[in-house]
Amino acid sequence: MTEPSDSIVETTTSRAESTVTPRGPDPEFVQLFTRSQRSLYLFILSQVPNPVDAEEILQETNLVIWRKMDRFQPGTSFSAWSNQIAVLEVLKFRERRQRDRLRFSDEFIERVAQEAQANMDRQEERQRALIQCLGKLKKDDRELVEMRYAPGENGLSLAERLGRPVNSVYQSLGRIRRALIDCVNRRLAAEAGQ
Amino acid sequence: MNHDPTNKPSRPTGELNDLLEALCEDRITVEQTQRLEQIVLSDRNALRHYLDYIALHGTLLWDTAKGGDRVAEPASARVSTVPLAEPVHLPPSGARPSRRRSMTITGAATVAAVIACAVTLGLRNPLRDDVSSIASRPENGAGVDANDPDRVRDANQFLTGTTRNEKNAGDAAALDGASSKTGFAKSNQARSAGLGSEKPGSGRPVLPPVGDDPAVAVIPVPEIRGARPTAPETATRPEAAGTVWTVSFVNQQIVAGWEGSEIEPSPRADDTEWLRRVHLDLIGRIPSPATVEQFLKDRNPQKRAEMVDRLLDDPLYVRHWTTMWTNLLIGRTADRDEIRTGLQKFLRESFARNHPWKDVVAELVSAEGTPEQNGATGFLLAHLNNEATPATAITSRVFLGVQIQCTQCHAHPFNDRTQNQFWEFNSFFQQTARVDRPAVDPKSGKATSQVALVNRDVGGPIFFETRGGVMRAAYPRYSGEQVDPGPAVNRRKELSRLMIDHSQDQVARAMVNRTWAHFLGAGFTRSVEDMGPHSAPTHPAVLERLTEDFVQSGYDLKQLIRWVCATDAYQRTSRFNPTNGDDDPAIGNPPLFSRVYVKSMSAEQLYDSLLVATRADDTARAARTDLDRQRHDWIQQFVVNLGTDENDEALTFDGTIPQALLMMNSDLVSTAVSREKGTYLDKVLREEGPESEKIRRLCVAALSRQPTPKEMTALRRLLRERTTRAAKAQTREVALAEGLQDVFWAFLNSNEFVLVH
Repeated sequence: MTEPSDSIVETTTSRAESTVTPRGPDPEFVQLFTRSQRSLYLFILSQVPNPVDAEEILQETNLVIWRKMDRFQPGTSFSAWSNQIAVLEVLKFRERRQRDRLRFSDEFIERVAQEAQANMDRQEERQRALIQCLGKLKKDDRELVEMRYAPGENGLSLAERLGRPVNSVYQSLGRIRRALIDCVNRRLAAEAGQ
Repeated sequence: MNHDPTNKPSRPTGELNDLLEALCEDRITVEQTQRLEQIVLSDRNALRHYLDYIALHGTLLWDTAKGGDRVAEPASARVSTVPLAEPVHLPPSGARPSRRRSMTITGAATVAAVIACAVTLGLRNPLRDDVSSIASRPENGAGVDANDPDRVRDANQFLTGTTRNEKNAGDAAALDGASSKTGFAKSNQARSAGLGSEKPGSGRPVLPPVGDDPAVAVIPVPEIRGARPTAPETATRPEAAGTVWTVSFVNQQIVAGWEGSEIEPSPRADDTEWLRRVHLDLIGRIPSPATVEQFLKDRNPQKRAEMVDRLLDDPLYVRHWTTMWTNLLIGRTADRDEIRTGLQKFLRESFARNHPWKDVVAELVSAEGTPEQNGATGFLLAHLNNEATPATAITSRVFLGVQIQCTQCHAHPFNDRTQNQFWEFNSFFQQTARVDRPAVDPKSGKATSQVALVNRDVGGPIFFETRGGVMRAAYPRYSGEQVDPGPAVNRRKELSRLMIDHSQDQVARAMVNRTWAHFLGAGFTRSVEDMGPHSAPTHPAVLERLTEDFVQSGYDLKQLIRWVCATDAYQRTSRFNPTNGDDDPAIGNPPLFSRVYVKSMSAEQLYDSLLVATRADDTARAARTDLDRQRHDWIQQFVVNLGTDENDEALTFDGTIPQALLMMNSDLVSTAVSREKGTYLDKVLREEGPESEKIRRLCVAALSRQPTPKEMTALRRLLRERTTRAAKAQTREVALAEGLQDVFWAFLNSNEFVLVH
């Protein structure tokens, strides 16, 4: 309660020229930034499906976003701007991991990025539909999914933990994910029809 | 295989789904990757499906990481009660992460990336056993005996620090041996008690500190990858962290509560009912007619959630919650103006900047100085009379949800709170005094006095008399922890620390309960200010889950509000249906939340709503301070100070309908419903349009909804009767105006207006 506040009065290099006493980042920018985090993550994940890699790229992207804060034009689309930065970071990441066997092709990445950008506005409504759909899962299914998505877990570790054959766990997870995505699609179709 | 690149709807093939599954579970082969590419690139629908699938997977990953995680507490997350030397940089809606974690932050490279990296670091924290997303299980509501004392969080625990700790630690150890069907016990902390174990009745045990319990195996988690060297803290968390899980859990639990009964929930409230309610709940007044019209036209399926966000950012939210909490803390009359003003200033800032609730409470409990220096002192300054017994009682009641004033004189009839506990709590205020210092009024130059809250260096026990006339000594003691009674120890600072750290999150729990009750019309206990073993919560799993998540969010009040407002329960109408007539706390039944419960308007809400209804033209607003002052003065006529030991006051406006109507026959209303220039009524009368349109507009202004066809017919008939009696055209106009005035009056005088439904 009485710690000195950590001033973000930083040494932001891009502000070095400014004659104004360094202050914190523009609160609006911060707000835009924090609100965009999830969709940035999803955008990156669609191109680099490994969650840990996607996080790493997200962090790199965030670094650049903050460095280039001043280049953002208020009033324009924050997600379009930050997605562009993410695209570059994805490319840099792929360069570093050239020898990764399970890579997607450049063509795939480009196409996916394009389509993902176009799809940005559907995200929120899908998320809201997901809340409803999660509520509809059977208790056991819901528990399974919740366990699966705990940080650091995946189907394999889950199977070990539960003492179940791993293929059976994969089957269950697949069934549940398909059910969720169907449910979300149906919901949105129903809403659109209203 | 559909090679058509256009948008002809085609279902995703089993093959595509299999490939996607393999991708999500990181077991995809090189060949499969190529195949996946081929399919996705050849068919637009497959591409979309791919994106949707990844988005689903990613959302689940993200939200679990957010919701189940604890991030280092930002150093700047403190309550600013005095003007800061530096500006506070974080936006008001920045949620502050809670517990301090011993994360190693190596280096402090690009400082400009402070916020960014701190946020992303939050994605993975290997130091933490993430159990909250797993551990809070949807328990089978129907099968649980809500009255089982073990299930109930003993709110009293922290006052007495009794043996519940030992008992529950025993449960935790026992769980390790129990083979649950998920085989989970070994790797879970004691939190998951009751799930799949043989003991459905065991409530959530108190957590032993992480690492102490040998039964707990640390979940194997990869090291933080991508944990870049960063400068620390000042993190702002992404909004809606964990919302997906939290809200759906609550929804599911409430549904489970109806199992076994015949109850069907009431349907979703229609837009006007919901809009009016959320305005009153969040900003303390009804929506303006323009807002109503716009909301009705809006086709966006997310409009309710967006409205909540919008209202949370509205300055009126700050005003409303400041008013509520000022009244809660010091009532509507304060002996000195500066006490009230100071406290309001403090609260206004706390709500505007969305300071962590625990910081707000800590400040209110431990503040020192004059109200000008630190507005939070206003709270205790108002209650230090009678040896600080009101301060003791109100602190406990309001922040902890625990009634202890009864034990001032005798042991509590229903639970084991003893007289000692009251005085032990009271002794924390023993060093505190209210002093009047001589001062000079800067404006008039006259000698006056300034009130201040000071701490004296005194120590030792306080003495109290039992009913049998025996003198006893009470030392400062909280939740079983004895505090050094010496004069050098600042007792209130200790108390504020103990309340947060040592009360099993009771501060959070009480706030969750209170907030839920604010929106839904009933809390999880019969009274939100009397929690304890004698008052078992109706939905313990929901209460615990929300409490946990609230704590993890850093006691982010706006986030809590968003969760509550996003639940299914809050979307429902307040009307009964044929099956849920018994779901009515007003008649003493425990709430099932199959509908929203009707609430009375507070005096302030009524005043503000009348202003909106009758002067719907917002641009003609007087300065805020004038409005506040006028409203305050108007309400004073109804306040009666009862002069009790607890500094109680009564508002002769008790929220009942006859009362409200009585108030409405005051000058305020008659002026407003007059046809004077500047009133809404005047505006509607003068503008062109058919009479049915005028009726409609008055209805929207007063009741925030369209009139029903039946109402419209009846009202038009009424108007016709009035006007046909008038002979000449001129008198007909007057008759119409008078008729519409009566219509407006009738709307404002209805039950529907004065209630929040």
